[in-house]
Amino acid sequence: MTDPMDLQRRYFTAQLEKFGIIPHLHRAQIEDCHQYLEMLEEAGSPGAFMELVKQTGNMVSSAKANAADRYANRAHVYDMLGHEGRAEEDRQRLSVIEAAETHADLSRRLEEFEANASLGRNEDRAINAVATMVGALFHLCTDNPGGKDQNRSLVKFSEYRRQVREADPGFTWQKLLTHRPYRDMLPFTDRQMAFLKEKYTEFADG
Amino acid sequence: MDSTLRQMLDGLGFSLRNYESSLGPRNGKLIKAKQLLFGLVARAESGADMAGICMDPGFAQVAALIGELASEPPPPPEELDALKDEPRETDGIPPAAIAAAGYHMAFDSLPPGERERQKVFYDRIFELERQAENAIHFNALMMEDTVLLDMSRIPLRDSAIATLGQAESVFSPTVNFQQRLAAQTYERVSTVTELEYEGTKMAALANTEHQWDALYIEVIGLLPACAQAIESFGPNDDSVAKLKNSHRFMTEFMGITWDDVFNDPRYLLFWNNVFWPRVPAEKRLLHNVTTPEGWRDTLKTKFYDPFVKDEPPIRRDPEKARVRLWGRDFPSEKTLDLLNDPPRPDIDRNER
Repeated sequence: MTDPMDLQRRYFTAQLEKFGIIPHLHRAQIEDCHQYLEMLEEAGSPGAFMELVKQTGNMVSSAKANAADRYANRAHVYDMLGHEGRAEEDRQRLSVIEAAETHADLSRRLEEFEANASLGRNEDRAINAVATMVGALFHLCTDNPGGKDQNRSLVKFSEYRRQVREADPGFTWQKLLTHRPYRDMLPFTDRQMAFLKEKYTEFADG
Repeated sequence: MDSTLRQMLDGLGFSLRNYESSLGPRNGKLIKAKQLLFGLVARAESGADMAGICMDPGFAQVAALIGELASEPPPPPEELDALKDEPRETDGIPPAAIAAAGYHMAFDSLPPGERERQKVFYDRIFELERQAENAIHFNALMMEDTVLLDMSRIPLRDSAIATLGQAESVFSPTVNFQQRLAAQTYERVSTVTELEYEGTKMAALANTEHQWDALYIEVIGLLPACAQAIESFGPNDDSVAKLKNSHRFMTEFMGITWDDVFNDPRYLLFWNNVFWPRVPAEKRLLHNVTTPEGWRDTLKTKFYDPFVKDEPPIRRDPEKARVRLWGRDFPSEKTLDLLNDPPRPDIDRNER
């Protein structure tokens, strides 16, 4: 019969070994494992350890650490690509997780948050609308002035510009040039963007 | 009662006994859960099978109550003191079957097709259960094994490989690159956290490249699209003006002519494999065309050149034939190579 204390240690050290392969993605979980290993040594027996685990929230700290690593890693990706809305939303999730006290509380708080979260959704809406708006702008460069093609392109341009501004009230041409989620999806060089700016200035109504 | 059902009900019973030691026997939710479980055990002993028990409203109520017990406040101090003097069931280590009961329950509740797909993972879990001396040993073995990670990563890897197979028919370099990368990434990840991080990163980068590529095809294909519109709907003031404007504009904007469009490997991939197959049979017959090159030449000689023959001469300008991808400028003719292996920014989280 294996020593139950050794088995309990193995449970946490096995996790630490896996997390240690890429430690910077698992910061909160590594810290959490170390805390439980300390708690185990203090308890002295598996039974006493289980009592301590129950008294400290049935390992809610592990669930929080797992979620904290997930959203901190995501926020990093979005920060690096300039997705400010999604990054901010993940940072808000981290605050929600931090405040939770029990498993049920964590689940309830996150559910409530997701029901009202709109930063990431709005950012996606703006990005999708920008792609169509710029496509319409490109066609406006060659449409027959006053013709049906130009009318169609204008309707499209105006509608998608409205959608962009609704999802991103701070949208301007300058932001299109500097905000990475917008600029990175456009295949145009800065010289080519200057052609599109002329049309934008001509047709944007303010 | 079959052994799986017995394990599941024992597992619920064990959870409730655990709560009894910390919440005290007078907790209202605990009493209610025990009564409901008692009824379920009685039904199982009378012959009800797993499906019958799982469909019983009492089963869902017990599960919900166990979830709620996790956030129940502790009993008053005097009751807690009294509890300390009582013998503890939890001082003994439960058998592995108790710790594995949830996996049996999850496996038995899977629909048949999904159960077949997941069987390899659950077989491994049940093998670990057989090897384990007790619940603590089972939990340690589960952590040391890769089965929980495999349950997440292998379906994602297989899905990427399947999508890659289907992607060959849509001739999308961005989809191909993304799915190849996903298959490789999900093969090598070492934790679920890493899998989620890599998934987020790949999705964010790939979504940008898909939109970039769609807009590039629309832009580089402007001249043939103008000729195609005249072929389809006949020449009119709008379509002829659009063609003439585009003929001039594309050299100013991007330094390219009709011939450059059809020397662009990315556009040719689209033209030969996506556009040409959609040209209706009656049109091919009408113009006596059997190849994508033939359709290209028909459009040029009949629906492009005649409308621009009196326009001022234009000429290609490689200096202007550039695209921007991930913040850097490249020759537009390199677009297919770029999308096959995009110069993605290094956004890895590698700080210590």
